Amino acid sequence: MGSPVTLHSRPAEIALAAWSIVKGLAVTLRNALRPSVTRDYPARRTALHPRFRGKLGHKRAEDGRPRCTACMACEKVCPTLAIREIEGDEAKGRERRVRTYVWDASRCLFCNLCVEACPFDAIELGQEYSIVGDSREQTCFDLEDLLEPAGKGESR
Amino acid sequence: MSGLPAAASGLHSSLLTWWADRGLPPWVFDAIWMVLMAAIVTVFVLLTVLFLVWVERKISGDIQSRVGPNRTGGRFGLLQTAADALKLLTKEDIIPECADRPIFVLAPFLVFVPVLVVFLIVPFGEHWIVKDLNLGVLFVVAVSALPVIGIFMAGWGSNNKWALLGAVRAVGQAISYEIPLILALVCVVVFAGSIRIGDIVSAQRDGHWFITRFPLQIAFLLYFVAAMAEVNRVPFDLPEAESELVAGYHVEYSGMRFALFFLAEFAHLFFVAAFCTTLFLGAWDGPWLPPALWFLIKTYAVILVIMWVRWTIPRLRIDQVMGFAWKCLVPIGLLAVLATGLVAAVWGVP
Amino acid sequence: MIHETTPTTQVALNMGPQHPSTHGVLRLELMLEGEVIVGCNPIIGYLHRGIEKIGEARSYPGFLPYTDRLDYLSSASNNLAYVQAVEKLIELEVPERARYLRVMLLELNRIASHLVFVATFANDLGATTAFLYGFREREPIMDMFEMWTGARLTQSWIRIGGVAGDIPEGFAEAARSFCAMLLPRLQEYDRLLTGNHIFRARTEGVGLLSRDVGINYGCSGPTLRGSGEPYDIRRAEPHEVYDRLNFDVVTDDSADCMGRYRVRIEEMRQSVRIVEQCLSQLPAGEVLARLPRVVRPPEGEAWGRVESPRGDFGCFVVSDGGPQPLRVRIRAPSFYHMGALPEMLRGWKIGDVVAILGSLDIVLGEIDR
Repeated sequence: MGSPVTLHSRPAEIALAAWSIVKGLAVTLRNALRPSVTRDYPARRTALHPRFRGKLGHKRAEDGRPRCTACMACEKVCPTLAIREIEGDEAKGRERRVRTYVWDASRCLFCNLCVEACPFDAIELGQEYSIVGDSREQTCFDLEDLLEPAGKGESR
Repeated sequence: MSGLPAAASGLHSSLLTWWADRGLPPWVFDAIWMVLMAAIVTVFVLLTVLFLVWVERKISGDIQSRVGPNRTGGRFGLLQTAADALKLLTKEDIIPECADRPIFVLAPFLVFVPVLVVFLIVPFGEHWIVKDLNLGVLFVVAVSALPVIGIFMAGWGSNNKWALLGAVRAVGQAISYEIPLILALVCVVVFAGSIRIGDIVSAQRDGHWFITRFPLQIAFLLYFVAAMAEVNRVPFDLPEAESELVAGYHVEYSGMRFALFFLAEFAHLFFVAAFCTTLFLGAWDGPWLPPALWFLIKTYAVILVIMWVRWTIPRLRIDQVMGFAWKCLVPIGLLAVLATGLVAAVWGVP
Repeated sequence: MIHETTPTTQVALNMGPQHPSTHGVLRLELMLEGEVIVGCNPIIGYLHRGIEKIGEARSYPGFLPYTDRLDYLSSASNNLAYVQAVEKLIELEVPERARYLRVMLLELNRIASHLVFVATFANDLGATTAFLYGFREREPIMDMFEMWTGARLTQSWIRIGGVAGDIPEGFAEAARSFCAMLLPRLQEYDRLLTGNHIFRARTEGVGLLSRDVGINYGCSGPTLRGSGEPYDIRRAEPHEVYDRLNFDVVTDDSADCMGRYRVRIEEMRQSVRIVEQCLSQLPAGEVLARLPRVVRPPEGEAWGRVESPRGDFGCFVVSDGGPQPLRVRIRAPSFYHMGALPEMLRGWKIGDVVAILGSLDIVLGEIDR
């Protein structure tokens, strides 16, 4: 049981082995002269692509109210039960607005199913990715944390 | 005699006179003086090692399209290794419950001390040598073979199969590569006609470096390869092979004890390169620049090549490592000795 | 031979689950005589999450994100195998454009996965630098995934009936420039690794898996093709649009670690060809077929098969007519390769364990499920 390539049988082979190592050295040298590809995170952060799937966000309608009508489509479709405790106000149908909404980042798979299920285009997976906490409670976000800042939605 | 060593030797003789005037025995003074010199060399070596670790990281970073250390101590991370050393020194000292305590505790020192001791004979400059022993080369061979005992003790004392496997590999490898290493040294000794380091260096003065003289080039390559194996560098890093044996013989070590192994490895690397410079590259010989600077430049060049190789090629398997030593390096070494002897006998050594 | 004359004791050595080269949480119980392996018993299950069982408690679309977590180095192929099974159940016609996009996503995943293979395989053999190079080259693919699907690793982008979204503007250019960049880099790998004599000495003739043994163990993918069997689901049972694309099924007769490595390197070149063809042939149109809000396939069973970077990845779905599958069964190629591992290891040394294991390119996510 021996390898077809040995490093000690004939002088010619030793020379070939040495030459193959020299070729490898040339490759590493060339790469050493290339600029480095790593980024100085967190000092310098690169922009994310617009489709990046990060923290869940609630959009606002033109009148400043949340677009979500608490229809429960996202809660039903969520495979990991990361969306829960959705409650709306007293109004009915399209006029109803969400009052409570909990999104648990530690359960979320960021699979985008909720966004696709939403009939009112009310939620999105946004650009924020640093969603950390010391406890399970801290990774749960309620409507107040999820709703985009007022003013931004009105321009939409 | 250049500046600093002259001043040192002047200081030495005046202090000795002062000491003898008070009726104190001169051998005590000699002992104190040697300890002082040794301390200076030790500090120098340790600082160099910290620097070398940084160099290694930067080089691997460059080769791998990364930046390497860039936070601690400015943009180039110069203090990174100092910070790491501090961290290791302040860590909890863990000795595994089942370890063989005395052996486990002693092992890192047995690895570290011999590596420092060999620096006694490194000629940093014309008279910058702590003790120019008349059996210099023999001393190096004897002392630099000692760490492997410490390595085996570490592997055995850890009471861990991974560590033991690493230790077994280390012993086999160290013994095998000692032979081509000694054969390479024999070639040099034949040309120098002495085993005193000072004589070897003066035989290479004014550009007559041994690497330029046929057939010592073979001995140089032989030494270079065997030395990489001696310091357990890729492709001969089997005793610690992190993807196979996790960390090999020092898998159970942490904190300061691990730091000793780590420092010893880099100190050994520095020594091997320095010795290579001494034997083949004319030691401190060179124009214009001060001798000590020349010595360091050459040593660092050798170290850079060793590091460059390390970050390029894969690791050998244990049987290939042994086969390479016995079936390739030893025959080449014997041939080199024969060729050197013939050249010396026929043409004579200039 | 020393161990024929000297009595030696066999030593049991636990490799893993905390070991850098077991590619996850795998434990190998090795029986050693010195450094030589006389027996090996792989112990799996450290990453068991009960994904098949979860499938029985999720809606048909809702199980999809879980499949990403099987073979996490190429999530698109897992998605596709599951989606294919469901589409067969409900007899759904997938739009033409979506089929091409699926193939493209799959092949980009294959390149990414094979790059990780090259990286980790080299790292197992001690070539740390090649490890970083593999990940460096993979980075543009991850970036392209983020651009297209919004996620880098677990894309969940293939949906029942198509893909979740079309490629964005600029994606085709990014893909083309990536393909142009990759080919010279692969040549660089050839100089750095493939031609290196140490690398060859470590891989050639090591870990032989003969064609027949491989077939008997149920091996597939590059592992089997590295033993000279030209079996590729993309050709044997063409799914999506593979029958319209030109590519070669790469095989290597050496049946050793080097053969499996070479097959994967060459497959990356073939994948580049496929991606380029997809980009030029891409028809216009919808990317997602219309589906009812709740998917209720008729009673029956279906088997989806995909050539994943590791081999024949299959997903078997049984429906009882309800909104949730009655049973989901996953055929993970790595699991079968794991079965052949003890046979391949016998007689080799510890250093070879990592080489042979690395050459199988297992992913524990799909083995343990």
